[in-house]
Amino acid sequence: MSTKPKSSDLTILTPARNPNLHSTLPWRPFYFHGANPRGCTTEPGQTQTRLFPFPAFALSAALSLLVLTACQTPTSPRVSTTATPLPDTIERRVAELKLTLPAVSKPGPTATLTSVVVSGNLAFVSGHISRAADGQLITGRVGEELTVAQGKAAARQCGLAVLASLRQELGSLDRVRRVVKVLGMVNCPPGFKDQPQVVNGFSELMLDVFGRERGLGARSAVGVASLPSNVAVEVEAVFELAR
Amino acid sequence: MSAAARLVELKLELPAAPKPAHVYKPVVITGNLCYVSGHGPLRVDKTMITGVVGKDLSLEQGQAAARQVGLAILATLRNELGSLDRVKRLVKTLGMVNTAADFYDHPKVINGFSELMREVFGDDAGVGARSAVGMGPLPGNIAVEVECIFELR
Repeated sequence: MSTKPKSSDLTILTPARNPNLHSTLPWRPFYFHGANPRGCTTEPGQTQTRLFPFPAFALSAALSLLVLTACQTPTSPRVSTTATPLPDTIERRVAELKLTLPAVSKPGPTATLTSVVVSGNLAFVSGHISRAADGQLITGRVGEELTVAQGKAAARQCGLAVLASLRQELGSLDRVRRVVKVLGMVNCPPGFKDQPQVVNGFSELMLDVFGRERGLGARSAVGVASLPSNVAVEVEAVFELAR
Repeated sequence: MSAAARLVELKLELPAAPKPAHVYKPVVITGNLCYVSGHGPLRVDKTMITGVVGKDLSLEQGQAAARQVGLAILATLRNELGSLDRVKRLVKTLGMVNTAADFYDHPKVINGFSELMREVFGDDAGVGARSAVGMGPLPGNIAVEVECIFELR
């Protein structure tokens, strides 16, 4: 059931409103945490920021909760919090797309970082470097040793690594509600301008896996002077988890 | 052991909490998250460690600079929060190293910061998510800049 927000409630700038932005960008210019952007269908039971007629809401919420609980898959024993996964569509999508997620190694006792930190309902994911399916690092500067297409493929590999880390930390990707914010860093020479096209390799994978509503997040795509081990691309991101 | 007590036990000498030079705040608290603005390697004598790591500075000097950034951030946290014990955990770090184009050991440099956080806040609360990258010039040609997010009690 979708509810149209009053124009006074939300002042977010969407691609549809801003004529300067191309409507097929794989990222949102503005993500307003806690509210539903215009056009987004409301998931039953999701907290709303607006008031609407109570009886209609209560009835539809009750009916929807009934449907949701009937369809809910049992939580795996690995999930130690009380967070309830959404109906299992993400893991099914990963299987449909025949994605091979890389193996994830556990950090040793002297580690100075961890791949994912969950804080409240946000999962902060460390920068993941570009690594090929065979485990070899994808190195080189995009626009110099690597083409934009190769850089984009490298960024997509970062995406697979991020999904692997999320799955290991959370037990299932179905616990992920949406992509919130991405920082895509491209190893490139001065004067290189196509960072957004390169980072699209990551963002388009998120769209494939999570769908347009949940896979589209805020994003910055930048060029950096150098990256660890001279890898081509490194991406970090923040995801919102299901309650 | 509490973080504040660890500070004393480790005999860490914190610089004075830096005052913002431009249009920003040292920290912003939203909900239970504390966003810390980028800090440089500020010494007790109020000077910064400058230079390009891999050219002007060695790896070890870069690590020392990263550790100094950590001390500056602890100073800011203590100044803004009143006590380091208000910190529940380090959530996310972005470590930026002023590097030469062919320098690739950014994680080792930022370990200077991360290991300090682990010493002060412990193995679980002091180890967070992280990205360690190379940047072109940093403000004032400082060697390392770190911004991070902490979760508060």
